[in-house]
Amino acid sequence: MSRPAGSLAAAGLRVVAVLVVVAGCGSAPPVAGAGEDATAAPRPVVGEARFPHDMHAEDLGFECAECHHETNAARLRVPHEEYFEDLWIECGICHREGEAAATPQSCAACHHDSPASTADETLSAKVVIHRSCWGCHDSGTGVEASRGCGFCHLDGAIGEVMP
Amino acid sequence: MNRRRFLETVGVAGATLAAGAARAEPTAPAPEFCGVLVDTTRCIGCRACERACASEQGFPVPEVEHDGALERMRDTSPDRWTVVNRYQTSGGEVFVKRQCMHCWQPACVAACLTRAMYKTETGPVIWRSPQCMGCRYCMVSCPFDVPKFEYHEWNPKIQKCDLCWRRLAHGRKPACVEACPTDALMFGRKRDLMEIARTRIYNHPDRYVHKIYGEHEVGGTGWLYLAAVPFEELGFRADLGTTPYPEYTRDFLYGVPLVLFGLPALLYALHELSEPRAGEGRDEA
Repeated sequence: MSRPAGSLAAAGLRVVAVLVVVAGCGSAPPVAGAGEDATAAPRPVVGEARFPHDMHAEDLGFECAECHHETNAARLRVPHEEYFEDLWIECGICHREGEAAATPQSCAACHHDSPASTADETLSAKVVIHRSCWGCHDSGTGVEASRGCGFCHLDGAIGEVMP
Repeated sequence: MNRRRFLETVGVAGATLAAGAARAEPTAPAPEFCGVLVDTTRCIGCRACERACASEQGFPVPEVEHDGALERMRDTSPDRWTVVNRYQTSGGEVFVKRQCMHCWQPACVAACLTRAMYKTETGPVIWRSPQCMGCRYCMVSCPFDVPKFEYHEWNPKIQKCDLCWRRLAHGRKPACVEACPTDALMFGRKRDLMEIARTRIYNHPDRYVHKIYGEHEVGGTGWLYLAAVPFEELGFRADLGTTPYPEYTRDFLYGVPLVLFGLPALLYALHELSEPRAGEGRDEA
């Protein structure tokens, strides 16, 4: 008697499984930080990262532009070029003067998580941020790279993808 | 059924069909297969993907800093759906991640008698425990030797990467892809991934061998690989051919019912024809 019930349940489960998978792939891939709470410092998907901002800016004397955009990057293709004559990094893009809350834009706004096409294959925000750290703190390879994760990402959080 | 009843039935059926057609709304585009593009030239071997996978699936998370796993070649196991191996090649050391390739026409699915191994509409090849009877044909059939069996469990399961299909269902990427700090792993539809892979080769013809592993192998796989050195040096099998594995058995399997039913019928017909008719003998006599 249990056999029909079992196979029915199995069939039902299969239908649900297929539906769920279909629903998943049909939706657009998520873009990190593109929501309302987008900030210049996106929340890492892998453990929280610590970055002593003041130390880098004040003690080590880094210019904002050194990290916030590569000065030798390919020229940005923007719709209104007249606003971006000389500078690769224009603070006003993110920090608008006169606005009460100058909300910095997310890196992911331009550096997309999932390129929509080959023309859009900018490096993702995740890679760009990692690379700007690795400019000084060499990532290394293999075990060295594994150890490197813990340099910024909190202990024990590496590899544990946030829910 | 009399004539009147028949006409009524046909009329109702026709009206229902017409109404259904009128209500038909534009259907969503058919789901496309998803996959992952692995660019081995980007991988730094940090094994964040291994940790993310283990953490996501509830397996013991490897101590990537101390376990010295890169010193030897490893294979996937029941509690380790993905591994990163280090290869010494003509182009220096290269790290290669391995897991289920999520074939387009999976041999394991074709070999499974109970449809426990199942290719979902969006690409992941998943294993469904209620159906499995434990024959392990999937393990024998897999050209990449991926499915693993829990030999030491009282109720053993088949274990292999399921492309985090539950995460995909919520619009999220596979855990390994999300954890990769260099975008060596990139998740997307195969159509897009192929385009990206080709563009990378086109833009950097000296950096890559001009081949995308998984484009045609065993009929195409969900996971695609780019590399700077020939794939044989990275432990990829080059002898798999481009024919989907189920194709090898399809003709035979279609032939079985033909032989089982057709041959007896033929023989019986021959028997009937060759048998002297009951009346013939008497006429001659």
